[in-house]
Amino acid sequence: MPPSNLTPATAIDITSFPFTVSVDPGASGNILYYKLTGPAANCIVGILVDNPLWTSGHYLPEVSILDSGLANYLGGFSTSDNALQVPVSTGQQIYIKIRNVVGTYTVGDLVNLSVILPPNGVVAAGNLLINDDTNFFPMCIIDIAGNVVKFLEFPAGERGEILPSGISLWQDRIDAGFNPAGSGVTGDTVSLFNASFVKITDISGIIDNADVAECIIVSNRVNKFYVVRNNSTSLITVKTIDNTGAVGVITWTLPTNAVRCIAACPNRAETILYYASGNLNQPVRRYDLVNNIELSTFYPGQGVNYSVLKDILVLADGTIVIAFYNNAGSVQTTKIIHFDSTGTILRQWNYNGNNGMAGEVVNRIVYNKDDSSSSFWVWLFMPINSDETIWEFPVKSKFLELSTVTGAILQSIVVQNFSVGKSSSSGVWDGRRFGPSTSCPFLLMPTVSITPPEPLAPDGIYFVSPNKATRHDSYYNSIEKKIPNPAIKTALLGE
Amino acid sequence: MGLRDHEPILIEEFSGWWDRGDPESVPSDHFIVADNVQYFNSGVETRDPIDKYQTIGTPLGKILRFYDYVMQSGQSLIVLVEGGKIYHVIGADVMHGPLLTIPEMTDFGFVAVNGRAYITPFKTYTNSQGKNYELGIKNEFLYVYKGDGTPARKAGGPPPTGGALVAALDVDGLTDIGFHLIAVVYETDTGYLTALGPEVFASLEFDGAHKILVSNIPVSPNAYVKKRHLVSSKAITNYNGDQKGYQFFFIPDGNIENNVDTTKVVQYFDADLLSDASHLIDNFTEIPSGVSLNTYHSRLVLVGEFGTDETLKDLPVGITDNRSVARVSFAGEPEAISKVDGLIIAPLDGNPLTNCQEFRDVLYLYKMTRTLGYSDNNDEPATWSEEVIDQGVGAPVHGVATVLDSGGVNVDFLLIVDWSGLMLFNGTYARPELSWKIEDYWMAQVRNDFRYMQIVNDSLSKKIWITLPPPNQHIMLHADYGNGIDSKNIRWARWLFDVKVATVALIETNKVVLGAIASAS
Repeated sequence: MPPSNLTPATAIDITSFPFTVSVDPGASGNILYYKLTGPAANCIVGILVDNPLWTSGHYLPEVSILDSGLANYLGGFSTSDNALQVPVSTGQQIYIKIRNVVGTYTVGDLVNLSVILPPNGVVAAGNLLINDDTNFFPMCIIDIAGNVVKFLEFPAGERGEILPSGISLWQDRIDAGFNPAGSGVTGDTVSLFNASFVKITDISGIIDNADVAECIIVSNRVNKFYVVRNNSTSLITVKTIDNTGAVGVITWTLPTNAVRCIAACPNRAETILYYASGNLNQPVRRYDLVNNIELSTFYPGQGVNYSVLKDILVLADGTIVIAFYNNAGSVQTTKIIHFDSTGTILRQWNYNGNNGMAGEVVNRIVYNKDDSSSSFWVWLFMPINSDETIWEFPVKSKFLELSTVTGAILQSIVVQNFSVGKSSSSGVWDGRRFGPSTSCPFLLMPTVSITPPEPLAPDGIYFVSPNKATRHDSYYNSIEKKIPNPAIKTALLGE
Repeated sequence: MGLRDHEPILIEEFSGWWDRGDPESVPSDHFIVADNVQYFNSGVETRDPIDKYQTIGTPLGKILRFYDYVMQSGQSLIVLVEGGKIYHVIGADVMHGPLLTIPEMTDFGFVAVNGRAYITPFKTYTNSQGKNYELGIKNEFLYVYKGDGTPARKAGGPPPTGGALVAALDVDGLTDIGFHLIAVVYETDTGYLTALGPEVFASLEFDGAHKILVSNIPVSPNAYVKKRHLVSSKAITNYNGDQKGYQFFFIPDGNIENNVDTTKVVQYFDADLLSDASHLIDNFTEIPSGVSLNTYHSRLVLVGEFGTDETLKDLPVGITDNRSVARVSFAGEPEAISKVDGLIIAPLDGNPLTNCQEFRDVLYLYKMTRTLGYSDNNDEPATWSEEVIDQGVGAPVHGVATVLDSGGVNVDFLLIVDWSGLMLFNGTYARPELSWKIEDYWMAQVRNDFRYMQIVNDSLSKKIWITLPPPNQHIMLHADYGNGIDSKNIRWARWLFDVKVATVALIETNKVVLGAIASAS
């Protein structure tokens, strides 16, 4: 008997998670449809299909995602054996379409479908925050064991910065918040969030989608953000935004020799801005924020074919960490250099890749959770696909905490990358059904207390259980809730 | 004045929540707040917790309505979820369905008869004044589900169709002499007998000396037709050609115990024709849907019909639906409802019938603010006399309490949800109403949405649960009448949940089952 769900109209409704099913597809041309509605308190689902009996010539299931109008979702997801993580807002409906891409159905072939929800843990200090620069994809939060803690609906963007207070400022490249079901209106703004990642406000007029290059968002590491804008007129301007969202009255205009500014950072006294162009063989420059003039060059550059990467860190002790890369030829050379405040090199770390086939290369660097000068974190890309350039589709990422005192690796974790929702590894590596994007902002959760919103109790059939051992209300999805505020109060005696 | 000057107040009984008038007027043994508590003897404690009912991998969500479905083999739930899909949930780990999908259905009425489930889809309409009312979905029908996991189908069934039925003299036999008409009736797997068919009945002049060979007996295309019966007129003199203008009877030994054979040989005398089949001609083949189902004197009762193209023909000017019509079946034949006289027409006051209930041998029909009584006079329902019981109290579509897991309501009284309060009915409405102590809260409920209020009565532990309309769907009213079922002794509380409770039922004697439509926030 063929499966009943061979059309979108007969799609099987997935109403609880985890959902697993093993189905005999029945024929080579049979397409199976499932559908689900975005569950409460989650913004992403993990989907995996396979045929456990698959060898060449058998039914090879390929999963693709359709929106509620049966059009390709978010430009199209499809894979035959990679884990998918699909963003879906609460209440939003999507379809899962499973078809045979190659081979011929043979009796015994099966389609195994697994749909799971991500972890929904508590964000803690030291967690790695990796936002996505692809519209509608959420921020991934990872603990220092490399496990996904949770996902947060968040605006997509290239840049962000978090203060020790937990208040953060992010580029929002679509100016529409996180809304996969929305219109995806193009825009560009910066948005301020509180320590629980609840938006405080959008701040308009700071950047624009006509800018020639992405903005830079950094801070004084206390209470003020600096936003460097690569204007469409090639002017490079700098403005401040404080931790309440107030925009500073001063606008600095940097010299045009820093065209397409890629990295910048003020010193802690906010007297000097270190900055660099993203073009090849450019120095690291300094600008006097007090007197509004250019100062002498901080560092003349790493040499021919080298560029500055996206981050300049000014540590609490005034020393400076900058990353460089050289993408010429078959060997990608990246290095991180620790300078004193005069530009003298204190230490250097080298990471080289071999045309993407081996080695590790630097992507981003970031302050540690305590904002101390003793260490910083680096995000390395690990072996990548041979036919891709180095910063696209790396299979895995490695995150290291490096000591500025000894140069040693203090902590090291490896995670599975997901590029536009698709695992960069075939199958499931190390059981990782979820993971961070390969791009782009990377920050560490500072030492502040975050209370995530409680998960919502799902709908369904329940019963009153007088003999229940735990005197909590038990809901589906393993949600336990205290009986809400049992109380009696008399008019005379009070509660 | 020091504390020592205060007279101590001794509270020996906790008499429950009081929400009536100023807080200062609350009696000292009552509570101005009683949330998530329940009462025992003279005490009060935190309410019992709730737990998940289904353990299967994909439990149902977005529950709109369910009922306790008493099957021959046990108890279960018939569940409507968003999207107009009805499922059959048997215990924690068995589920069938969807048995029925009608996207327009946002609610349904239900009654179980002989282990079969009768389901009537309905929805809420809004008139030009913004007033909500419920009626069966236009051009939708009553459905029957056998409880075995197979899809529900329309109750009733079409009559035999096809080529003309043929009768001829066969081998030697004995009959009365004269002109006779013979027709066929289908019997479905739920025992329903269809109208007579096919379009052209057989006719034959019996000679009294031969058996009758009936051939070209139609075969139903529907698998649910399990048997067929031959019916015959008595001898007709001066036949006028109107084949349905005569009385028909089931032919003894005229049963065909299958849906295959196309011939049958019978012989009978007119005196053998005792069981009348004439009424089948006027029965609905598809029964219009309504809002509420119940039984009375072994008859199925259906009220709150919008109508179908068939029943909406030739209505008087100004009447656009059948909102005041109740359909009543023949006794013992829940799907056999006469289009001609199997009906009761309640007063045409513009308000639809909302509910129906048998109590002490009287059939009560309800509108939102009316209660009407009808008594079976052993004649057709259209002839039953009407008595207006109360012109101020009525019930919404789920406003008559069901008792324990019976699916019925009788414990020598009825509990009725009325706009004015929770009423106890024992032939007349007892006042003050049971909700008198919490009148302010009751009156604050959105009157236009009383359809959301559903009530169950656990007569074993003497407790009541009532669901509430938005925006209070995350709250249920709970009452304990262990100290007496009157306005003074009943003890009220509010139960709050993290989900919005849309429906409630009792199953497995007195297990309270809640259906949640959504998260509470």
